[in-house]
Amino acid sequence: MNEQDFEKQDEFLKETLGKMQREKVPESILKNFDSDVRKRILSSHQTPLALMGIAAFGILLLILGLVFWQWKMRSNPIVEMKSEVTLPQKAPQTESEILEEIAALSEMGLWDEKDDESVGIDMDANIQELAVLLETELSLGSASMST
Amino acid sequence: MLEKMCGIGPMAAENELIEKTRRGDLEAFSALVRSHQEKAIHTAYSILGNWEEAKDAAQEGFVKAWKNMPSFKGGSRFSTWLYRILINVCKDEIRKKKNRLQVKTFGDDREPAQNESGLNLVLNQEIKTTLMNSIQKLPLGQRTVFSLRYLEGMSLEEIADVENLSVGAVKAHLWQAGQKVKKDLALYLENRKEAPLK
Repeated sequence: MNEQDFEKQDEFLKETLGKMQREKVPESILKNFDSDVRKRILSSHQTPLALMGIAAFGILLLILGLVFWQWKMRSNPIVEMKSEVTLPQKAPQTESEILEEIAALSEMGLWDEKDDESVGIDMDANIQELAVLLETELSLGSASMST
Repeated sequence: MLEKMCGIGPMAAENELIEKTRRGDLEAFSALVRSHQEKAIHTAYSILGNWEEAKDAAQEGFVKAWKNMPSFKGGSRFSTWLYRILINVCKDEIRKKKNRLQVKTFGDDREPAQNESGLNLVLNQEIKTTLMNSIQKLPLGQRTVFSLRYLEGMSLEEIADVENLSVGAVKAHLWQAGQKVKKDLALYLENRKEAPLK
């Protein structure tokens, strides 16, 4: 490109496209243009304010939540659970020991018939067994006394 | 009108409005908008090729100008500074359009001029459309410089100022863009010879 070529082309394009330069902006486009710009400016100012308002409300809610939690903690302290579990020192070994244990629990009201059923204890059979034992003991006792 | 109201010269009146705007006077800024709106919309239209888009871009440009008013130090003319902002808004719009892959014929919403009629109208519209479509195909830098020169009638120096380029760089852009546009125009005329309007 040299200066002359550029000027020639520049003139040609200025002439060809010159007509378009004179094209007027339609009235419909110009209508309320400045008031629309004004509205846009005002709305762009409102947006950060609205965002700040929402953020402030959020912070306020968070603070209120914390205060409420603190208050609740003071009025209803959580009962500390015992971490240690005491295991029985010695597990009952014999049937009679188990029965004694059950009898003790029954006296305390912590053992009932349902518990018997759940462990498969037939109380009637036990009573009969005891009756037989007692009878045997008694008959043996009377025999020894007669001798 | 502004200078008549204030009883001072146009530049002095504009400077006063600029000063007031910098202090946050929206009324003063609205007066600046009114005095520049037509040229701003036309410039945006020359680059974007659609009146509605041009209106939107011009409004966006004015909003950005309002926000950046404190940074305007008066080193250049207000109009140069404003067009720099506006052209950047238009370039962003073109980039967005390219991303959206919108293919739209340049000048589709053009209203025919009142004094045009019949065959002349059709021919003029066709030539305009060909030229505008050719401009639209140009790379962004060439397209902006070309539109400012031949559709807005800006001087080489003004374009260099607005685009932050040297006059030599502006000429180089114009030369390359002009070659492409001339080629497209010649192709259109060639086709027109082969298939003339009935």
